[in-house]
Amino acid sequence: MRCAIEPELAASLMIDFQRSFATWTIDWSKPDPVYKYPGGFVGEPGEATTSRMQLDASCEISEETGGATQTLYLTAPCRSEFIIASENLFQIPNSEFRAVVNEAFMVPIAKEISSVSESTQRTPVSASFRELAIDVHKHPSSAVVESADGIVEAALNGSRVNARSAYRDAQRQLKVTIEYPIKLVNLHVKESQFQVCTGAVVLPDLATWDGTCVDRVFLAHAAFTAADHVEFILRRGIQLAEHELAWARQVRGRDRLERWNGRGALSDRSLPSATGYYETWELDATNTVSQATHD
Amino acid sequence: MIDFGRSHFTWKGLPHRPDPDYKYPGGFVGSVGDQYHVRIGYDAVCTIRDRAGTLALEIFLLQPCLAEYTIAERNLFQVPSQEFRVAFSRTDQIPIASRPRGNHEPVEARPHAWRFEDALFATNAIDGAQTAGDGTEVMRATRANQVLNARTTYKDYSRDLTVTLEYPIRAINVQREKGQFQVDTGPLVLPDLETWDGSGVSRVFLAHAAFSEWERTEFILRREVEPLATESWWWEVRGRDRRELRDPSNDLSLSPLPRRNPTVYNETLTMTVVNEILIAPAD
Repeated sequence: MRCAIEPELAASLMIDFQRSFATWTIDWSKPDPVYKYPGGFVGEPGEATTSRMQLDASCEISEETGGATQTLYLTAPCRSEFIIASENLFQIPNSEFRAVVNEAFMVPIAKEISSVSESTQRTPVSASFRELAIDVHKHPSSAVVESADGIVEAALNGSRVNARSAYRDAQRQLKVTIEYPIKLVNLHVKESQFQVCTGAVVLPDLATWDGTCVDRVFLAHAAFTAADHVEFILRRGIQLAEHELAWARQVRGRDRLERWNGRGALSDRSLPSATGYYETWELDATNTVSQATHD
Repeated sequence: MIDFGRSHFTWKGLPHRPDPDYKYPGGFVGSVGDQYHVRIGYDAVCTIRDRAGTLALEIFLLQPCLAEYTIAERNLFQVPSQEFRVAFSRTDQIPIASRPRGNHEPVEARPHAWRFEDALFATNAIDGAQTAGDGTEVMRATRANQVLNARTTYKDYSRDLTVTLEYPIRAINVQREKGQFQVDTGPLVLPDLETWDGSGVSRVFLAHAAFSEWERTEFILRREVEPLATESWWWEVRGRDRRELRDPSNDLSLSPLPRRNPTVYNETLTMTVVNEILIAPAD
């Protein structure tokens, strides 16, 4: 496993998310004992497939006592698929596939609000992947934008801009720093005001921190208008109305849960669901906006 | 090849006027007369050309955010939350479908002039991009972490239209030994050509695309879905209320603000197309 951040570049340079990827290889060496299409794979046993996912955001968790530091990366989403197929590429019912990974672990994304424990556990990447590379590409030059006027100007002149939001969990003595591209920003030029409202970002569930890493993360969007305060809104699952399940749970085409000995069992099938954003966190934070200066 | 990292739409709103009914129209919490700019990145671009190859329509799918109060010091997000995402032509906002293709929706495009004083589409290209000649080149570029876009073109013969979609490839699978690849990415917009009136459409579908061949693409379309009634949080107001009325005695129950439902992807559409993969130069 490797995590290739160009060493010659200062850590303060902003991430070029457009050119940053997580790439993993899965060995489909043996047929799954139960399912014909484990993970949606439709090739032959012994084959290997490699998937490259663009990165959407990063999240560093560090112990303020100087102990462990972990940086997790949120991948861009895709829709659940059969790989590599010539037809019937999408799984129906369909779901989002997104990963939160680093060179050591894959961490589950929450489906519940933060006060509800899901007993999820991170898994070592070696359990899923033969190889994993996280290539974090930095912009060759970038600068922190020091003022609201500077943020307004950077946005209006078309610069690529990232935000970094850092906050502390004093009780656990942990610091979290997330970095994410600013995809949407509101500007009130006359009053030198701005409001960043963007996502997706990934936030750790620090209640699950065990000194090494976390066992759950939250998918969220971020908003801020000042350097010292950030708000997040967190995603959670939502169940569908009964009358929607009639079509939403119906399998079309190849059945992802088909077993070697016949059709997928009813007990295998979780009810299709959707997601919504609900819980908000309002935190003291240090927000910085950076712009790429080489374009 | 569009440089999606450096392509943005920026609007300048009209000076704010109070809404006759709501205190926070569009989530605005500023003062009368304030004018805001909003800069949003592109997610995908769709062009429609006529029989002569003349560009008839460009549709820009912009990146989403969650409904907010602008520009506020606290309570920045609206709860209940909903996605804010728009598809714009150069002159109009085109509604994104909430229903499957076979369902008619009483929607129509809305001119920017009603809302914006200024609307600037800044589309930048990546210099030196090349079109992949075969799967081997796609695999080589994937391995080298080069930026990839897909360009998917299809024809609507009944209307003599050619539709071209360009979108960044954010997820791709490769099988090196067999020289196979499979793109699975999105979102993008598909125009609802049933609503074509000779110059524009009045509905688009939000979709993801997947392809493993040069002549065939599958799309999966997003639609709204009703949540279970017991999921009461979906309707719960916290903090400032977007629906708060200027005059509480005013009864708007007959024309309430629309509330979007959650979404799922379900309907699929397989099309004969020409797929191209565009490769940005290595750094």
